[in-house]
Amino acid sequence: MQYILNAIRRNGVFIIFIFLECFALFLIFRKNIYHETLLAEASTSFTGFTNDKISAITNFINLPATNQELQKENAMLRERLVHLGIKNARTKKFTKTDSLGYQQTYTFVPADVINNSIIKTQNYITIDKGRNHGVEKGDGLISNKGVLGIVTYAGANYSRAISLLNKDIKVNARIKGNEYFGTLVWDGKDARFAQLTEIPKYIKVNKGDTIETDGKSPVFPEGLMIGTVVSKANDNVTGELKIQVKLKQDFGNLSHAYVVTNLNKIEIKQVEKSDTIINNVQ
Amino acid sequence: MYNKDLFVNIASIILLALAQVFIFNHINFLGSYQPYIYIVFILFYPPYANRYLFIFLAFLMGLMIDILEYTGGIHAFTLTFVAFYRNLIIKLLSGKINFEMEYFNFNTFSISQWIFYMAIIILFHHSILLLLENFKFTGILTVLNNALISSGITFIFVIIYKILFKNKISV
Repeated sequence: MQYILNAIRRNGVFIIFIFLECFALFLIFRKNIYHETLLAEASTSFTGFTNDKISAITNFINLPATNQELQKENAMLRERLVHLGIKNARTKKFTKTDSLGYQQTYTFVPADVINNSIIKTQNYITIDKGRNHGVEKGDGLISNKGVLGIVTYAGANYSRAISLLNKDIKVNARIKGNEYFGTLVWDGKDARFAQLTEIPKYIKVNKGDTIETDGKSPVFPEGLMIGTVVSKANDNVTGELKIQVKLKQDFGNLSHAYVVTNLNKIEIKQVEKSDTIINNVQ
Repeated sequence: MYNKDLFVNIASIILLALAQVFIFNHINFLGSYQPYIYIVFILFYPPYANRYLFIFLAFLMGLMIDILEYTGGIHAFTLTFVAFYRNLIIKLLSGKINFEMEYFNFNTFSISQWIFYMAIIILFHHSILLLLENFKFTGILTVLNNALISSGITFIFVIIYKILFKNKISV
């Protein structure tokens, strides 16, 4: 019996080391599960609260630039309202009906970005709105310059969204003009560019073409700007085009965003329950 | 073991984890390189102190950063790994045949030994961390390049730390 105890005593540090490494590996592989069930609420509210205080200072420094941007956006929206002939538009709800009677209904919740990273291969965005403000898991996150990401966890007052700069995200996108759609992904290399894949080889794509969101997923409204084409190449593995897209939104400089909630999302999800399409966007 | 040092150590890992998550994560160089300052805990922990406690504290600090940063367990894994192999690196660098860890003191390190010691541990830590974060073999060269440049940045911060807290470290 003594020799077993001696062996344990001599290699105790090594045994502890192996045990802790196994535990860490377990956490790496079960990342989403343990976070969502155990710690999401506490850690989101703690990091959210602290980052909120920190970003209050940085936002104050950026105030003139932010104001100018918001003014520009306001002017653009006013112009649109005039074109539509609407004088007293309702602020919270936005309903768009096209000639076929196809209806999309969205609400927009304004939010501040309080934490954001761009240098990892899996980046996340934290915003200062949560369930109390009507944010739900699976909502889209946009800015006036394009798509930012999808909300993955909604806490009481703060939420986390998976950034477009994350190798796990896939967003439906199309080429403006010819309406061919593909999947927008990020290869983890450069924060300024994303890649549009699954576009057939025979489609004509020009440099400078606009890439926008497709209305086919319930997350984002149709026709939101994402970026412009800078180059294209044939993918040798899939035989499809791989298009390099320059993102219009500079992710290193995010301050204001909108959470988009599709009011028909539950119904769309129920309809598509047996499909796998819905999994592509989440 | 249960003395003032334990509380000082616990306070320092909490402070380092918070400083990393809330301050140093926001310091980006050229948009893709970032310092990981919490490695100073591994670098300057007294070599003769309890190893069980050392590995456990390193793991705990990594876990704290992981929880705050939503990275699963990559920091915990890497820090435990580096903490375990730190004494081996000290042993290799000391250049003595009959090496006794109990009687080793950082004061005996020359400047070149210090630089090698810090460079090896930082590079080791950054490579494992970024490889784990990427978690696949495509783009491995970019990841290693990132690790190298980030190590350089961390190295500068560690030197600054060492100059600032010179008296406290040389125990």
